[in-house]
Amino acid sequence: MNELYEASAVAEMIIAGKRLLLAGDEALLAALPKGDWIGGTIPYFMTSEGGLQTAKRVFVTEIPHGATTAIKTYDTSSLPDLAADHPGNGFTFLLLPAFSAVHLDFAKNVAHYTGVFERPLVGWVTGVAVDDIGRVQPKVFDGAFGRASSELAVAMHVELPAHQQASVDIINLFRPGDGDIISFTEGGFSVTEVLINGAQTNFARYLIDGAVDTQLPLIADYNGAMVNVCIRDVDAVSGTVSFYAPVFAGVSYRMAAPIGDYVSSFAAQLHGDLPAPVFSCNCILNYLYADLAGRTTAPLTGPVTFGEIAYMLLNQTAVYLTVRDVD
Amino acid sequence: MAMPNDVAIPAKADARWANLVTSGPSQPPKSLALKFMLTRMNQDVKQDPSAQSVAKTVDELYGFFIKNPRMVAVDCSTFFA
Repeated sequence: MNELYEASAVAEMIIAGKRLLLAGDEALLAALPKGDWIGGTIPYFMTSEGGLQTAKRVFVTEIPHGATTAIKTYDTSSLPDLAADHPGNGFTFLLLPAFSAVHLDFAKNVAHYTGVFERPLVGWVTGVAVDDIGRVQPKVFDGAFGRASSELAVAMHVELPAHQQASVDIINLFRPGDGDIISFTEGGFSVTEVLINGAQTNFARYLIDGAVDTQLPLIADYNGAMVNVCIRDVDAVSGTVSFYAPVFAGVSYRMAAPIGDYVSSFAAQLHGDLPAPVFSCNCILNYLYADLAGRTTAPLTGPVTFGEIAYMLLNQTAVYLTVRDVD
Repeated sequence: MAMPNDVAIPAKADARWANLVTSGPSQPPKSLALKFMLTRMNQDVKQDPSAQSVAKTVDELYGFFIKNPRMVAVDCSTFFA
């Protein structure tokens, strides 16, 4: 089950005891009954019919049958211990409200969270309509207690039977271009100075003078996983460049090479033997820049997000979770 | 310890563990978790290349393999064949 439903139908599923991961408009989520669900705000979705924006339906992902679940909320002090709350085999699904302290802490520090790589960690950063950024706060919902938060993270720890194994993977269409090697002496969500092929300069000036296409992300090779950092703003006056995810000191980046048509390139990346994903999400920047409204990336459907989580915080990347039987 | 595909996890003293955390794998891991974890470990050891730092990081990587035999089975056979 990975589809949009009327809120009344979602309420019936909750009352029937289904364990759900939800995405939708704040007013719809706030009106749902308490139950075994967590959710996050966003009005953009990739559906089997194509990308669309709606505040009138809720995207529903059902937890696989046979699993057991536990819901917990986290602040910045407890989030680093997230992995310890999972009982064993399975996966953890995490929602972070965009622009919150837990979002920033996770982005910067998750690779050092204890045990975070020991089972799949998947999820997304909740958001709002692009026109509402700065006016409306993204939220997460803990359905068990019927409460919303713009500051806390919420997780559903899903324990699978021993004969099942969860895996999380990504589809990133971008590849490094053949331009300069870009690195930073200090990491963070914004920088002024950069090392271009080892020579220090102002990053905003570098991007402006070079007429660099800032719809393309910075990209780094993490032992074969291509990790994007998307540029949020270039301030020529202050010389500051801000990002949707942090850059890290000591990592070598390049500007990504342009890609052709996103949808056809995306389809080419899908493995023919890909099991039906339990959950997937894609980035708001892919939705906007690649004009995904009305176009399909099936079988990967789900919320369009302000950041994707596959162990780490990712940008401009599709994330998907699969569960398969093992010996 | 034997892996599901019968490739044994080498002892912690095996020099290949230290190579993995200092230089990274010779070919990309299949597991997304290992790609990210080894990148973080490579960065940590680059920042602090002391013997103590390397040993601590090897402890962590070795422990990860012991605790997650299913997840690392394919990569174990690649790293330690």
